[in-house]
Amino acid sequence: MPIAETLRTADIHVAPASVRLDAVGKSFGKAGQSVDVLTNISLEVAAGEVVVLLGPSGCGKSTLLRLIAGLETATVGSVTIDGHEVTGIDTRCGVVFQEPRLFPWKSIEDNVVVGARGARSSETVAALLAAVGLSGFEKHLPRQVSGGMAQRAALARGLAGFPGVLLLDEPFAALDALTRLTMQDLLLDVAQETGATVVLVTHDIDEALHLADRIVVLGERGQGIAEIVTVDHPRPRDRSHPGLAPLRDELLARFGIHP
Amino acid sequence: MATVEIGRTRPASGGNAAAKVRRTLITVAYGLVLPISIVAFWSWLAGTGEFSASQLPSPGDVLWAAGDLASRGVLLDHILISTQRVITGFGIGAGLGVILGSAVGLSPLIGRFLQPTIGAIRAVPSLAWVPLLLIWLGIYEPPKLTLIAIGAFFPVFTTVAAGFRAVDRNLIEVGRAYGKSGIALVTGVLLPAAAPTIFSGIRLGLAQSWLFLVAAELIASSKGLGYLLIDSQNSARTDILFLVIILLALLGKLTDFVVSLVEKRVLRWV
Ligand SMILES: Nc1ncnc2c1ncn2[C@@H]1O[C@H](COP(=O)(O)OP(=O)(O)O)[C@@H](O)[C@H]1O
Ligand SMILES: [Mg+2]
Repeated sequence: MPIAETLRTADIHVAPASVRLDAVGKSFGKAGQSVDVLTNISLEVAAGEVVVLLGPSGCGKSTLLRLIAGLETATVGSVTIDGHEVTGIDTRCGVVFQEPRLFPWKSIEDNVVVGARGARSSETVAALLAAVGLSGFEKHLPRQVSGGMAQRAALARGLAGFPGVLLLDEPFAALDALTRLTMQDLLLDVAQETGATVVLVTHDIDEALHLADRIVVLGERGQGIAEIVTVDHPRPRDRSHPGLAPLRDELLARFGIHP
Repeated sequence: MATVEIGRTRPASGGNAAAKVRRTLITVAYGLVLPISIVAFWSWLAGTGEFSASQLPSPGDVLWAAGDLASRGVLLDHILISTQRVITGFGIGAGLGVILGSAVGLSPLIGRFLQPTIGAIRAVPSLAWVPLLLIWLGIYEPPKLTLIAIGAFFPVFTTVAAGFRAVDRNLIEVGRAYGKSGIALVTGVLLPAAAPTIFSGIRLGLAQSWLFLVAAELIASSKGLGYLLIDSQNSARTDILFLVIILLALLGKLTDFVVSLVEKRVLRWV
């Protein structure tokens, strides 16, 4: 059964959660010699919206996700989810880290259950494992599967709690090209079916164009938001739709590539 | 779903039982090569007549001494009392080592309080405590058990504290991001992550316990393998000396093996 149907049958919906960043700044290091990684970031993500962050390495994309998750505290400004300020780790968020970060002592299945946080339903866990192509690997240990499989398990773990806000940090970067496309559609299915808000970091412009309602382009480190591009195309999107070409060219030009 | 990824996958179990038994046997065979060669060489050396029996008894002499002591019913007594001392002293010392090591490793605050003091106590060569222990605790079991406990404590304490401190921050963060904190974080993430290091500390502590047992029994005792060493030195019974040394090697190896079995069961994922 496709994941969308399982979720529909199980009637899983999340509490809608908007994300709001208000003049957020983040510096690292001691006073006097600190580095401003993020400055004056203001952004509103509507409940159920898919926002993709693009930007050069080291510009603070991961840091921005961590601020929303409450894994870091903003130096200035405020982060709110659904109108409530984020203070400390926020369980309304599900995080998929840049690395799989599976617990090596737990099976793939039990790692996914960690993401479900006790509200485990073995049916949805099994459905998620099937959706990320890990059926038959439930009892394997993380060290017994490939890097791409581990990353997919981490994706399933991030989805398993059906969080209001899904924060994903380059979740598909370690996957081969075909699996990546499948996982992108899985993410969209889950987000659409449950109504989750998605903030995703990527380096892949095509991925951004396929997933995003809006693409937030960050400038170099400390320079804040460079541009916000709205991708106003109906879903499901055709990856090769000619209407996306001008946007793609525009984004490539932003990163210094002139087609 | 069709994945075209070619995974580096291994089967979940480590092959079938027969292959496992064969691998174990091969490992044992390799391990026995050197001891057997040593005994053969020793046997030959003792047979050359170059050495007197009190300088170098033959393997046969040592076996005969073992049989003699066993038939008089004292060998098992010595072994049992020593083993019992090691287990008790090790239990106390390793237990305290795990508790205090965990506290220091998990709480930087407790670490700041305890670490300097424990470090200083550790700097005292452990045998320097012996006279004090004898004055305070008498000459029977308490000073011996205390000395063994001291020997077991430090390696366990140090490795456990270091093991908790070295836990991957990223894994702790995953635990916290998925709603674990406090005790749940400790038992759910920190403890399993530190478990391999904790076990290596426990095994070090056990080895130290045997070392300190001999020290304790050499100093004051009327029973045990250490006593048997002193007694046979005094009566120039080199055969018994050899026997005790071999027994200590076997017992040390045996107790370590028992712990390694527990370790294998607990750390199945390693
Ligand atoms: N905990 C930290 N301490 C100090 N510097 C950090 C920390 N986390 C991130 N940084 C710095 O902040 C910058 C942005 O990092 P990051 O958010 O990971 O970038 P990106 O994900 O966009 O590649 C980098 O220069 C990095 O070195
Ligand atoms: Mg990053």
